[in-house]
Amino acid sequence: MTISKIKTIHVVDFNNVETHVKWLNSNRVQNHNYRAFPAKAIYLDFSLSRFLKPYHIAPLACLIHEYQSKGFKIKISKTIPRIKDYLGSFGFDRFCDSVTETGLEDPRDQKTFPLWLIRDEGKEFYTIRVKEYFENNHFSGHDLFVLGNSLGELLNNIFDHSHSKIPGYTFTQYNTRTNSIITCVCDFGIGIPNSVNRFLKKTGEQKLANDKALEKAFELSFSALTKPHNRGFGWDTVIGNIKTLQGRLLIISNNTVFVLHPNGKINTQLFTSNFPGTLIVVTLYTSNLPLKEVNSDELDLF
Amino acid sequence: MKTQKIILKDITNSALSNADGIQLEVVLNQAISDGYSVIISFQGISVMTTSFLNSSLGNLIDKYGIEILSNIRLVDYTSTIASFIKKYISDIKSLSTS
Repeated sequence: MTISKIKTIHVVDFNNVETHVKWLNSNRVQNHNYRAFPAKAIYLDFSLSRFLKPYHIAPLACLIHEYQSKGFKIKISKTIPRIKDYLGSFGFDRFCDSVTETGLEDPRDQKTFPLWLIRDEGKEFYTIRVKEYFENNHFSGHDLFVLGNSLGELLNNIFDHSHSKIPGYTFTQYNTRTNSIITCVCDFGIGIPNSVNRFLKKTGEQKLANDKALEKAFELSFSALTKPHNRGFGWDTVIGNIKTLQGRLLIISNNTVFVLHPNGKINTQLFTSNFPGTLIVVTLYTSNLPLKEVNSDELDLF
Repeated sequence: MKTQKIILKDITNSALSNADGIQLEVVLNQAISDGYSVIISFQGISVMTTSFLNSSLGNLIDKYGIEILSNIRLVDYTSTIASFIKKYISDIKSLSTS
């Protein structure tokens, strides 16, 4: 019996956050066992996956990016036909060939907007493109300001605060069954609680437990002031958008999970595993989208 | 008071980043120092972030005080953009009085 020199990562469609985070950590390139798997290649085995969601895809993309940036080749080894179709519909196979192949060509499935490597210079273009893509394909005459604005705020946040060694990824998908748009932003940066505590330390304030530090980040006018232009309005805006559409927000950052439920209830939880950065999943329900209206009347600001 | 119309799309491609906001701030600053009241057209702008507002209206408020906004009016805006800007100004006002 020959033992493969190539590591196989079994991609699982976890529904449990802690198990998902443990799986992610154990499969990171920094934990790669070069002695057991000397080949600089990884097989991705999707045979255990049945219902992959954006929050599986975006962290997986960060994971792959780490391997590729260390010179590993990535190959999809096994999939069931439905998952193969799904991955192919937004060019995931091409992405595995090379992370630089993250162009914004239209996907085969109009419900999905392709995975995008977050780049500072393209984030405005990307945000507008996602918003217009879903408006044009699914919500004609409606205003998806909340999607564009939330995505814009989250991408700005990554560049201002994450200090990620690798770029993050974002992925957006429309679920026709639940009438919701799920947008996901993931980075392998320092994490929100760490960023808040780093700021508090700098200003001589007491360190907070990670769950409290995460909640602190959402306070209006609180900013970790990584950049002089930060004023602490971004998170309040994202949360306001989600509440307006009775949506859902999930944030996994360091060892903290934060959930804002559609009924407005908030749960924050600490667990033993540590997410290597931040994963944000915004679910916007689309049944109450406003109509697009342009006003030509003059509006006073004061 | 003389009025100057600023078409946002003529000075920046989007209203999403701090860099976009700074471009508007520069033009607003110039117009205000020249004694103009300003009408900003948001034609073709359908999404905005607080980073943009921080670096445009926010910086202007820091420099001149909130009353400077009485010299600025908006046209060609979507309802969502108008609500967003109004909320931002309301937050600034409430924070300055708290």
